[in-house]
Amino acid sequence: MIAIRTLLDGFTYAACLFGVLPLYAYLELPAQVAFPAAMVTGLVCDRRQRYLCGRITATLLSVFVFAFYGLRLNLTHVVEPAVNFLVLLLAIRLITEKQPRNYLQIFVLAIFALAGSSLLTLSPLFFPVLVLLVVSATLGLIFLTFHASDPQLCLPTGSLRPLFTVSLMLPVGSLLLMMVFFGILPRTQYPLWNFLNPGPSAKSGFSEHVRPGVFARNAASRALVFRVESELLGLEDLYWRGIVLNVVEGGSWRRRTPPEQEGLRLSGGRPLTQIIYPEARTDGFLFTLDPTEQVGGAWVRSSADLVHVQRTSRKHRVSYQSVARLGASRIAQRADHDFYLQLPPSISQRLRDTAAALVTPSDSAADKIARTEAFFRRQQLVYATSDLPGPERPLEEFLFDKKRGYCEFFASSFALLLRLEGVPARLVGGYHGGSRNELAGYYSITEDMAHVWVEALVDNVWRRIDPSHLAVNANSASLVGRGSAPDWHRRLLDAADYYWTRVVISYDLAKQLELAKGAGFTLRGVSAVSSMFRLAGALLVVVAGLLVVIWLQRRLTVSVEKRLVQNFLRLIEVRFGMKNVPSNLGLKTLADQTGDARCKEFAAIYSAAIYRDRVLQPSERARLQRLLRSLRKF
Amino acid sequence: MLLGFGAVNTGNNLMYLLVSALLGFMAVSGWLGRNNLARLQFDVHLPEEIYDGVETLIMVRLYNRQRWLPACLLALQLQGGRVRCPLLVGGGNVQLAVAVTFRGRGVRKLGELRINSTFPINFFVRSLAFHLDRGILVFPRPLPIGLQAAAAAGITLGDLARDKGYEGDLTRINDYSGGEPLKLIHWKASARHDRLKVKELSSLVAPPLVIDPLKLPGRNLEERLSAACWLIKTLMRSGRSVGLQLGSGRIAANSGRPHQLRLLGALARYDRDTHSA
Repeated sequence: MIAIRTLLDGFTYAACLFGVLPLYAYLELPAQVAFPAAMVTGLVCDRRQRYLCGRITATLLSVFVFAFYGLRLNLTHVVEPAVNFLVLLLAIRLITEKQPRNYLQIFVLAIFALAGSSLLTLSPLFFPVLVLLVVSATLGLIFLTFHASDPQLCLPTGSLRPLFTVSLMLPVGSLLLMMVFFGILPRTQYPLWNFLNPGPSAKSGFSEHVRPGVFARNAASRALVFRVESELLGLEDLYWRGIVLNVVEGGSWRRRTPPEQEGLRLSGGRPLTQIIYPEARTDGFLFTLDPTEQVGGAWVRSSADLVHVQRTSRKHRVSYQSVARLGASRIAQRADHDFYLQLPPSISQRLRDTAAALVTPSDSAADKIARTEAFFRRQQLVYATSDLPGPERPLEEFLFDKKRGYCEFFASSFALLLRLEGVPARLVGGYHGGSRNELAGYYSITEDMAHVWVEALVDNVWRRIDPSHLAVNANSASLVGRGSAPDWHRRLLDAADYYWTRVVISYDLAKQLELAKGAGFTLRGVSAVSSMFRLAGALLVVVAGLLVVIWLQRRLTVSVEKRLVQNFLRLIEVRFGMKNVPSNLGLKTLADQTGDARCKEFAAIYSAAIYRDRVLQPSERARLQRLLRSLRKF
Repeated sequence: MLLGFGAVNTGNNLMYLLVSALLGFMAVSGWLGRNNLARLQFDVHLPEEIYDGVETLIMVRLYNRQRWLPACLLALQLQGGRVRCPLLVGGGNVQLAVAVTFRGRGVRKLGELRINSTFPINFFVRSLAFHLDRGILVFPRPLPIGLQAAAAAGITLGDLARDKGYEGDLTRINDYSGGEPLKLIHWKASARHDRLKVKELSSLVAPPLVIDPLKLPGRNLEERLSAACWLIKTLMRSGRSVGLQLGSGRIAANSGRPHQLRLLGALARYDRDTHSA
């Protein structure tokens, strides 16, 4: 025999654990200490049936905790005090004596704790924890129902199997339906309480200005910045454009709004649609494959130099679709040459002399670029991220002394020389490369792929030049590894995280409407949402199939005679309103009570066969079926 | 509700997941609750003797016609009596004894048999109600009368210890007929035989006689009929032949169980505007 109370306690503590687990790292010290202590103490108290904390003490403690965290609440600090309060309340409840309603309170607090965690982190850990919480809380609630009916109830061990069979139907069914409800529950375009949501946890190392020489060492992390759902591309095409820096102030390149009259037209090239899932905050700049002419969504503002920025701050993570033109020419319209030839007054004479020596005024822009590239090669520059030039004369030191630096040194010095030579030039900041995940067909762009390159105006076309590739070690430097894929287990974890973001985190009203229109299933490639629904649909089909098999099995195992009489009784109930017919009432009596000739004939034929212990003849069976059809039509 | 409100207003998809799971939970728990009572059947077994105001055990055998799924947390109610069955496995059956007290002699309806369940979640109670139109005959409540009163009515009681009674030694174990006091139920023997058994104790005996209830002491007709009922039961248990004089009608003295039931039935129906059960 096993006591229901034991099972109930087990599932209650499991639900608490799973409810608080994703939240634990975000709790303050008192809650972090109190919760595990309360779990252990509660288990011991439940076992001994002696409790440390009485009802009055528990109420006073709860009021104190409520007052403490209530005073710390304000509009910008809502979630943290609330979740700490919830967890402490849960801890208090665990160490007090538990009536059935207290168990119910514990389950509700555990569910609210998990809901609170969703306002602090969007980690994929949420999903397995949610599944475990649903299983433990639903089973706990079922055993609580048994416990409420008889607190001393014990069941034989053998009866636990059928009980668990029927009980597990609840969490399994709930989780299957969860996928359906998730797709159809109403969503709003601008949620009122958006401020409560967690933003991206990390800020991208991407910068809005370029200032070589500030750091003696550039040690970028491999933190994820964004993922791109895209077809396979060559490394030479993987330039992710973020910002264009068009003015030099002091030693620093910055962005100013491009001249108003300026325009840009893309000519030729292959259109390529991509969906981008940002992970880190990039101060409004939306990264797209270079060059991209269009980014979906009314909340995007695009400028003439192909920089795309969010109009309004959107705290929750969104995905966006871009249409790039691979290999297209960027034809400048009404470009302001003077704007792109501005130079800082503090520029050194050595750089001026170098530029003057490289070209003659009669050279074309293409020739000037070629000569400058040749100069870079002659200088035997090394791509490096340590032992870098200092802040005093960074570019001179880079070009003539240390001759080592990373992309910012290469691009700044190259663009500056071009401007000195009279070629309009600007810097483009973004990322270069991408780790391809073939499992799911996307690129991951990480922090260490941040890159700066140059765009020069040649014959009214903005031409991309990547001076970093002029380094003597360009083939062996980190630039080469930017297209490589990580280990398989990292790829697998990353793919899981990607699907989590694609299917769950970025599902919004737009995708819902897309689904409603049926467009979700016809988009190019495999739509994230459609794949989710296909999965849910497939599961429902499997469940429906199983039900059909069970129905067929039941139908085939029930004799024809029994099935006929069952249908007859059902029709009697529907047609003549004879409900709750006593099981001991004879078929003939029942037919007589209806007063219907067809019923009487049915009863006569059926009884004649059954009471003589013989099966129905085919002709009798056919006649009974005709009578049933007739009754069905009435 | 609160979580749903929070999900819509934050647009947080994780909260949507949680709310979706809770909605799924509500839907599935509703279906499970409905399915729990969907294929229950029962048989009611009434004892032969049911007396007015005397607690009687009515046996209800409950069948779960579902092949795989058990029926859980069943509470059966009949005529104010209540009995619980925590778990009835799929395809199984269980016999439940409901203690019921009927009020008033004569033909009565068994009334409503209700099966309740709070399964799976203790938020709602689901019920199945069956109206049992089956008539039962309730005998008058046995009312012991003193020896002097019995003698005044022409009845003498014997003193042979070998006959059945309530106070003597245990003579044998017999099937429960419904008329015996609950204290005489032999629980150990009942558990062994899967049916209720009662202890038969030795008592006194007396010679055959015909009872005229209207001559028996009592403040009204019901008390006289109750006294007659007690006399019939007591005398016939001791093996005496007993007859009955009811107004102009007369039932000749005889012995045996069918005869006893006939006499008690006549007492139950006397002066009642009812039809035969």
